Amino acid sequence: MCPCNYERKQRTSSQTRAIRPHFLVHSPFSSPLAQPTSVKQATRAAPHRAKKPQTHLSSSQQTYQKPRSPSTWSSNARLMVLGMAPPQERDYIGLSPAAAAATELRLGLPGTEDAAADGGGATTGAPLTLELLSKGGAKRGFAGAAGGKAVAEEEDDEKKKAQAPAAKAQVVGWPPIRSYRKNTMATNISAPKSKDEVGAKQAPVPGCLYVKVSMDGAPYLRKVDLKMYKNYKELSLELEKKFSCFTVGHGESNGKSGRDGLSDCRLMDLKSGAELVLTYEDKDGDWMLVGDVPWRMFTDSCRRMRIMKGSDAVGLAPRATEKIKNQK
Amino acid sequence: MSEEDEDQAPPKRPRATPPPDQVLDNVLETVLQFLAAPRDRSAASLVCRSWHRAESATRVSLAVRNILAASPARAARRFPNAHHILLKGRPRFADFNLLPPGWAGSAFRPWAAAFASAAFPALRSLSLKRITVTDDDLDLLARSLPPSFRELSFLLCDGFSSRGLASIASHCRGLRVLDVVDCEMNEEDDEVSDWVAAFPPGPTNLESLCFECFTPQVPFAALEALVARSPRLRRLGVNQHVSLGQLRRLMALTPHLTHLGTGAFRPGDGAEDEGLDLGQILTAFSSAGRANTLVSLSGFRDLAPEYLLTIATVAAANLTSLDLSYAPVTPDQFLPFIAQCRNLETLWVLDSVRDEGLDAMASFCKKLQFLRVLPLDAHEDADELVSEIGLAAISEGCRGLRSILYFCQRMTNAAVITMSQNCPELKVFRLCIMGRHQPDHMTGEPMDEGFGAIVRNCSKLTRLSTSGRLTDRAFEYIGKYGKSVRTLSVAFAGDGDLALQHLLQGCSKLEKLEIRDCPFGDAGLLSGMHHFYNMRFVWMSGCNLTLQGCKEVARRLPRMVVELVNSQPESERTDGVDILYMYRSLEGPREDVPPFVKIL
Repeated sequence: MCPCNYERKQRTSSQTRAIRPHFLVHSPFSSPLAQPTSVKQATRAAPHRAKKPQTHLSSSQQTYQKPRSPSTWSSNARLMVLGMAPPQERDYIGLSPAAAAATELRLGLPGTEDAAADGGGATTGAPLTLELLSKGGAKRGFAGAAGGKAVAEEEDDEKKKAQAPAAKAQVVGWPPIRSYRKNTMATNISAPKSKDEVGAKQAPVPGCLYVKVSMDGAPYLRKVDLKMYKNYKELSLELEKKFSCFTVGHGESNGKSGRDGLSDCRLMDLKSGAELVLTYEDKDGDWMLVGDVPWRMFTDSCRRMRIMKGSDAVGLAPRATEKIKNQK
Repeated sequence: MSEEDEDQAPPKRPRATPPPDQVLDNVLETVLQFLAAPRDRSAASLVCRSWHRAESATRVSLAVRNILAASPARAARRFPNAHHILLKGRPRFADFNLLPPGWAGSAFRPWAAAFASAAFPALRSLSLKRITVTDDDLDLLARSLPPSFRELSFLLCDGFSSRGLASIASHCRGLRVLDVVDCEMNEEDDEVSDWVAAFPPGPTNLESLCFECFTPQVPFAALEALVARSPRLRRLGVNQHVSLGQLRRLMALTPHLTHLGTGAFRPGDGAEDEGLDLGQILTAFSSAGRANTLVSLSGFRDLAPEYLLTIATVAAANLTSLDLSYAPVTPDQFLPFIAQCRNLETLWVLDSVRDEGLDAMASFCKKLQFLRVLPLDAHEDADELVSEIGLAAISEGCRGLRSILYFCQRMTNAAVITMSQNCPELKVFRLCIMGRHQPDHMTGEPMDEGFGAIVRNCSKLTRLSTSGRLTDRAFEYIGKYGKSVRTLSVAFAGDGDLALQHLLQGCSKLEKLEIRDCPFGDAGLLSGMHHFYNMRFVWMSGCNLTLQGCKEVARRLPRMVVELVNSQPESERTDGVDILYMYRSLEGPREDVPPFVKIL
């Protein structure tokens, strides 16, 4: 077997899940208009689950249905809750699936925990949630969670199949250009400059943009290529995967994970009720919550990302925090 | 015994003649100081013990090209009087995200600790390449370096921030060179230290200050003040936040600059840019041109092309080095400029200049030796901007070419063969056809003949990077003719183990081998057993190696450290070996190994 296509596999197969945090992305722009190219993905058939039409979110409660196809997803969904697929095999820390399931972290507002527990009981108990924008009172039903695992995998396979014909698969580290240079050129090209450059035919929009993602307590940064994802959901899934190893150890000093610390972490997080939010720094240097702007605008303006505690994110988006206050 | 005191005055009566062997040592040390080349020095040190001692005492330049190969304590014991130290860390493929973060093999900490305990009391300059340096390391370093310390340069390093630079600036009195090149600095969000202002007040000895890769903005007032009180400044490289107006003011303060990193090269919004026009920039560069000192330009991070020509007529004639690799200039903007650069020896440019830009460059820059054509859009399916026409044109015009790095989408064997025939001086040939497995697009054949011609005709070739569709035949050529090749990078090529066998058995001077995503297995790897101790490292990722094969290598070569790295720590790969990185080392396996690395 020649692994000549060293593809960055976002989700390879059902065997490669590990504990992953959830990212809740507040995405008011998840309408078909704002999601430009996601229609390329094949519509996924999920016959064993009723497709519930997504109603436009208001501040009132909404039962959330896990999205299965771009059309149902993007039709006015205001919340992205990513279903958690329980791990199938040992992740690199060496947890067995059963043990991992038993020690999953849950970070979320008190209201949501119960709702999630009800719906998710069929699988492996409470999944890990990092809430980007918590809707305190909104009940989130993980109605599809029972079939969530199977469906998520199916979704992944289809996504992979659909992506391959859409664009040539991007290989890690090829062409051999450093990501700093790739990013700098991406910035140069995407912003049209002075009068004489607007008319000039420059190269097409480049297809990669590496941003650093740092997490409080993690020993090192990760980098993600924003252009590999078409919407917030894909980004969130990838970040879950990358940072799962850290969230398990979250709360310990230096973020070093260990089997011993897992139960401690879980308690600590539940006790402090710490929410983790995903924020990004835009071109102007302001820190904003991820999910406020359309995806395209986000990729154009995002410089780097940071997963921080909800308490740190207070000053970021007043509108969002007010909503939290109103609904608590 | 011989009275070898020709370089000493005849001893006075009361003072006894030093014993003869000590005299011999003195002479030896004096003579050895003239021996500079490291290979010669190594040879001299093998003669006998006293030569070994003398050579160790007089070694001034120490290059540890793999910091995992020797510990700082060992280096300090052997070469205590080192003045210049070069340290290289990570393997090159780590630059392309092939090595997962947390690999931790390139940490500076042990060396920082060694410097702190006065291991190298005569240290004057330190150069670090691909090494992870933290702010604490820099702090430690700053406080403990000897007063003779003068030069610090970082190339492709990471892990530190402005806080570390501030420590260095404030504590290293007498610092002459501070170069931070292509580094990925981690800035803590709101706490960017003003390291420029951290330099002590009063005149500084700075000769070179380069921070083009520094991402946050440096307060201009502090920068201007620093430049104003650095009368010896000859090399200045500013980052992309320095606007054209600000640059003009800095140039006015430094009339004798030799190397200038121009920052954004676009007028900004600040006070310094008010009323800025072409005439003022022209004046600035014409004084630089008159002084005849400015030889190197880089930067142009946000180039406003209308200002490019201001340099052309007045200062371009003196330029020997030009880096436009962050400036997407079109052929019309490039041509009038390059026409003036007749003395250019080094050029880094983007492929936005297209084949006609390269053709023009080749017709004007006859003295060109080092060329890099980098892609504007680094993707396999990007538009084709340069092609074999550009390569052939370069070879026609620049006969003295020594080193070329060329990115393109497609290539032909004919053009590569032409280059091999026209440029016999080539030492570095790196061709990157961005489409993987691309054959010659005119004939449909693999690129074997092209690369074969390169190794056959360019007898001085020491570094080769291949790309495109290559069969085992190409490697047969490389093995047969590439007798002076020291560094070889291979990606997505070859048909099987025979190719690797050709390489390892043919290239007798091979020192660094980087392979990715080729169908090479254990048999190929094991065919190089006789040679691995002569090599600095071998990197094979995405190939068909197995655990058994690597274990066999580790068993038979105990002094090689064989690291198996799992490149995707999030997912378990149970079959095959992901990344093999092996290197010779005097220290044995390292201890700071993360869970996804296995050392056999």
